[in-house]
Amino acid sequence: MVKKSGYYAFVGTNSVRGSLGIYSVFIDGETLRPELASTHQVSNAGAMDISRSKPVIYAGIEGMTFKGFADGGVIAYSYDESGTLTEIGAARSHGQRTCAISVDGETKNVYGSNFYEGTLAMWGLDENGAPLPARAVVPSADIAGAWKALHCAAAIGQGYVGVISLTECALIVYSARDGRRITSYTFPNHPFCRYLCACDDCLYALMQDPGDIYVFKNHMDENGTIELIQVISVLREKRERYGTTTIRPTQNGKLMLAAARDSSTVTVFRIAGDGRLELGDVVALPGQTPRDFGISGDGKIVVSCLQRSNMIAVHRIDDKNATLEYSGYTLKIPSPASTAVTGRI
Amino acid sequence: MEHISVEERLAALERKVMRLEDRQRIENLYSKHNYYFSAGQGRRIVPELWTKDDDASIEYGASGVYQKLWKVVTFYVNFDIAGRMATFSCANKWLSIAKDGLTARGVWMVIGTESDAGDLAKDKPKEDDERRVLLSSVTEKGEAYRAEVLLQKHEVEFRKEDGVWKIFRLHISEFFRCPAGRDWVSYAKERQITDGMWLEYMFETPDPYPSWENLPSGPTTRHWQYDVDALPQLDTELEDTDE
Repeated sequence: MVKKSGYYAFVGTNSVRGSLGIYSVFIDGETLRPELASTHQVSNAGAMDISRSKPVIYAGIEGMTFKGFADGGVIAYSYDESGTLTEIGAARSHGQRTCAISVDGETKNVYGSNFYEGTLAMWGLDENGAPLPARAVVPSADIAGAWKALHCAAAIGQGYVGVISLTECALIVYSARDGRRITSYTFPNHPFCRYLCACDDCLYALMQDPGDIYVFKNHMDENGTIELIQVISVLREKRERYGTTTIRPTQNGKLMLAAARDSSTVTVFRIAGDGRLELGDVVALPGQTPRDFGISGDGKIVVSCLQRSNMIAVHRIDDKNATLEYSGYTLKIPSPASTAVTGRI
Repeated sequence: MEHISVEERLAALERKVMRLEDRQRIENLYSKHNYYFSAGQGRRIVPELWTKDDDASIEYGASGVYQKLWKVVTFYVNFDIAGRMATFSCANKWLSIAKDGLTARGVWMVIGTESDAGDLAKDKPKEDDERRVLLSSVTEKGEAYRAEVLLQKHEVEFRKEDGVWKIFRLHISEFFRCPAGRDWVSYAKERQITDGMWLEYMFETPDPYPSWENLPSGPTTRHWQYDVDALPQLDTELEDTDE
């Protein structure tokens, strides 16, 4: 029997509607047809990231309880050639509802944002990629009348970590070493801010409503600053609500993808030489509410989590035309909320 | 000896009687709460026994605070499923009424049970039914069901509204739960796998009640549950405010 070549998508789910935890889905490399390989029981794996150097994924536990504590946390799983997950370590996050997880490029640190309490947890990783107890927990600012909430954390190279703070309505950059605050940018007119990613020498901050992307030049190493160079909407036409969720670049740094729940679309941008975004296409998805999507390690496919439709969908990424080509395949999974996709294996 | 007039003695006795009556009424109120809960009458609890103040809240274990009356309702309104039953049975009452006679606090230890006949019922849950993950016991034939015992602490704030005592806040701490054929020590780690599902499921309700991502209004205020590595904690002081 010839072993098929393809990808594994690990899909985290909310603990509702018959969820069995994290779903390992094999996606055929030629046809892009997904099929369920296995499931791993865990509660509310609402955030996920994948190591670029080890066969390990990281799940953020977006529930109210973690290993018996009223807490969030991170769980590291190794995966094998059959997509089977094995828990290799876990650590508390010191804040409930860990809603975003980001592992750095060298798999030495992982960061988690806690929606409740607004804390940022910073974990070192051991040689296997398992998280150690948090080495730093950065508290939220205490602002009278403002709730304490953090919506995203993202590794910025090896030296920094950026967060999207709902408390301050700001992008804040901390030292990855000790959690020292270095710089910040407050978004004007109080948008509901959501997500952050880094790509080359730029940072991309996504607003949930209205669905704007703020593009920053990263001067952290030179002078500890970031510089706003562009604000661009995820949709061509304005609408009352966007409900955007996630923004991620392709591995080759040519395209940037951003999902919007209210329009059930993924927008594909070209990344220009200076990091600015140029809208390529707005792709309608075959289901509702893209809560997250994952791009394969080789940048060829994208798997979207259509939360309200209880399914994932697979698209091929068209670099040349800055668009997505629908594979024609979906797979039923209850309330998919997060995903990480391997390279082709 | 200080001279007390007959009128003053009468007034003091009246106050005492009133406080005793208040205690009796609060005890009856909470007994009714548990009786309704155990008899599948969750839909009656909030309209009949809770405050009308929308600042009301309920918290269960690590669930976080569910604030506002419509969120409180989602704890009590369950899917009507044959073979399912949940019970509260109170013991070890502690009650303290504020000096003004308008608010009170009560703490009870509670033995609870959770039953779901699962595969043993005529109407079995489907393979993808989310109840399945909570069916913690299994027969030799592989039929899954749930028969759990729970030890809880109920901490309740009461308010007198128009002369009638009502529940204003309820915080249920779940010290342990385990299948009836097991013990809570050996089950302590195992339960952690489904704790999150259990909390989410508790606030899911049938239509037309809200069930789509019924998130708590805020984080957990305090939480302790039995674990093989945990020391018991005193998370609330019992301070008498009675005269």
